[in-house]
Amino acid sequence: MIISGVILSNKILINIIGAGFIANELARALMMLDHVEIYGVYSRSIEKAREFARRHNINNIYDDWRRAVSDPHVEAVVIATPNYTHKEISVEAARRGKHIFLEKPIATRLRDAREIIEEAERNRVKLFVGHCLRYWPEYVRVREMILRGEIGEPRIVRVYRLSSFPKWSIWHRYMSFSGGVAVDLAIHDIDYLRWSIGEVSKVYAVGGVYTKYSVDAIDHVMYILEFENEAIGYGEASWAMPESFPFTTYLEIAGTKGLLYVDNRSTATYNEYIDDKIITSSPYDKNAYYNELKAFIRWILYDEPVEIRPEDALESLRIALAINKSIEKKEVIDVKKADLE
Amino acid sequence: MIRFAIISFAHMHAYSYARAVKELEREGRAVLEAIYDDDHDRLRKTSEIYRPKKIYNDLEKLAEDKDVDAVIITSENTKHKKHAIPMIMSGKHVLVEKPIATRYIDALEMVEEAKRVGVKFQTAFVMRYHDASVFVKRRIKEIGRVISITSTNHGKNPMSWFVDPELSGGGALMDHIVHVADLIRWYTEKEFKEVIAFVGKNIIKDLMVEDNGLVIGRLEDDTPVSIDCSWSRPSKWPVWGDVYMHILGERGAIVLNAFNQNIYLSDEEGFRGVYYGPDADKNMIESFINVIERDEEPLASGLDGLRALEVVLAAYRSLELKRPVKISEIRM
Repeated sequence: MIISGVILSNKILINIIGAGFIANELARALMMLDHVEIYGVYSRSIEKAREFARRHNINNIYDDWRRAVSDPHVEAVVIATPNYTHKEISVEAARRGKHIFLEKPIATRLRDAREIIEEAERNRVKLFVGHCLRYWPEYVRVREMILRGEIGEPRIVRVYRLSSFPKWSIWHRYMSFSGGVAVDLAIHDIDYLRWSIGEVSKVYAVGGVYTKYSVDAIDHVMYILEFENEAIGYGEASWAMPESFPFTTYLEIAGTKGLLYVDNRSTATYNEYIDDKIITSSPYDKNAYYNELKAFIRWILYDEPVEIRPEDALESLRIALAINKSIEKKEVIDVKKADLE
Repeated sequence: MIRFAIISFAHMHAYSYARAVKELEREGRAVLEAIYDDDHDRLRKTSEIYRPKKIYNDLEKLAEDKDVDAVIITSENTKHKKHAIPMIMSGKHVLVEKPIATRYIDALEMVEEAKRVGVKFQTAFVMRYHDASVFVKRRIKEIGRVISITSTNHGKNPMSWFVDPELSGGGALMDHIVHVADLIRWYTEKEFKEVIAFVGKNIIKDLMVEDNGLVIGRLEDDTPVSIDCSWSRPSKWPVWGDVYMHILGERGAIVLNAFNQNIYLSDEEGFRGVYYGPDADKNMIESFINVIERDEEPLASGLDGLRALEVVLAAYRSLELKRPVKISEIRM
């Protein structure tokens, strides 16, 4: 299609930066979307990039992320690299004028998050941080129920996100690379609760480094959130569960007119038992990854509003860092007043 | 065979304990000798249901009754001491409903008086007699050193005197911390070092006590633990509540969901769970009989009741001070 001399491809070309677990999920979702084509994939290991490209029918591979984020063929990048690399890669992508889908957490430090946001604004590119619970079917439905007043005013919240240690890469094990389980995992629930319940004013947490896999990353946190609207919440995020412990997510909200909960231990629609391996899941092709990427693409194409602003990702990071701070100081952290840099 | 008196049916657990005593009566292990109540209507009604040999509305007369070997105190929380002391002084063994009392000095006085007189004093920590939570105690060494414990004791709002601070001494924190705090102490064999509680805006308007609460504590070796003690189950919830725990250890994890054995039924009364699990109430009273007859120490003693109460009191203090409170601060 040619309009006033500009060639408009009917597809947005995207480079995927990273070829790990989440990149794979995001690539699968991108393949299902109209108006999108994965142009290339970057991995630090060219072998890994080649294997990833083969699996997803991608034509181009990179072992230099700077080339991948600056390639003039692409309009947008999907960044799914280790947490500590988010800033450098996102800032460069923004400078190169690419729209950015950045896997959560936005960064591991507040100043990095701010720099990413500022750079995206300066270069007028769209920055979408992949807080997937904002597009996760049951979580979306629960929020709709809350907004419709089906449980009255929310009062007491309970969330779990429990996992064994993510051994598929090395960077989770270091606090400075991952931010620990609060910044990497609890942030899902934190961001969701800020979106659904309201702003968090105070945080108290306990936790520590418990598994042999962790070098210095806090791998188990138990936290209480006090919200500005006087609701309270208990949360727990763990990488310290035993290997055999099924990945567990739980959400419960007691309100003035009712109580709801959704427990992934009881909502599985598919169970598989082969030898000593058990797979329990709820297959969902057009899942949260699909939904969030679709929103990202439609934001680029039609300027349709999305459910997450970059500042939300920054604020959610602030609360996750408050958890780490509370564990360190053994004190209640006032989110607005505390120095969380 | 032990001859029991039940002191007050204010607490709904009294009905369950009375039923257990009557069952043990048929087995020749117990007799329901007397019921005392300061509520005349209730005394009349419960005596018609349970047919004790005697009824009392005068506490001193009950204390003087030589045919009563032991009492089960199920009055309002703040009356426990008033009801326990005369019984202890007259040599009766005491099983007291949780929480043992609402003030530290009251609990201490009861424990010390029982020790001085030499009667058995047991706290009704019924979870120590529930087969599933007993099984956890038996298995917990298998998961190695305990890293953390997450627990909930949710329930419906019991209303009535439970929401009158003069009689209850407090709301959800007073009612629901102690069961799981006691299990945590029992399982780990460690004491609480400090706790902090958060209470949100109430679910039910205009109550004089809190109906929700979240607690995080550290044990003496810094093991983190959490307790959700909220009365957050709506009145139409299909079961009364839960006692849930997940315990993470160095070599594994244990998940306890003690009241998960329910048959789900939908009929004109609505949708509800019909419990078919172990009868912890009867186990507890049977154990109390054994303690008296064999001159043993109760599995859950008065001191255990006191230690659990300290956790509650530290939780309340933390609400005022807005910081974690050490258990040692409560004893001062």
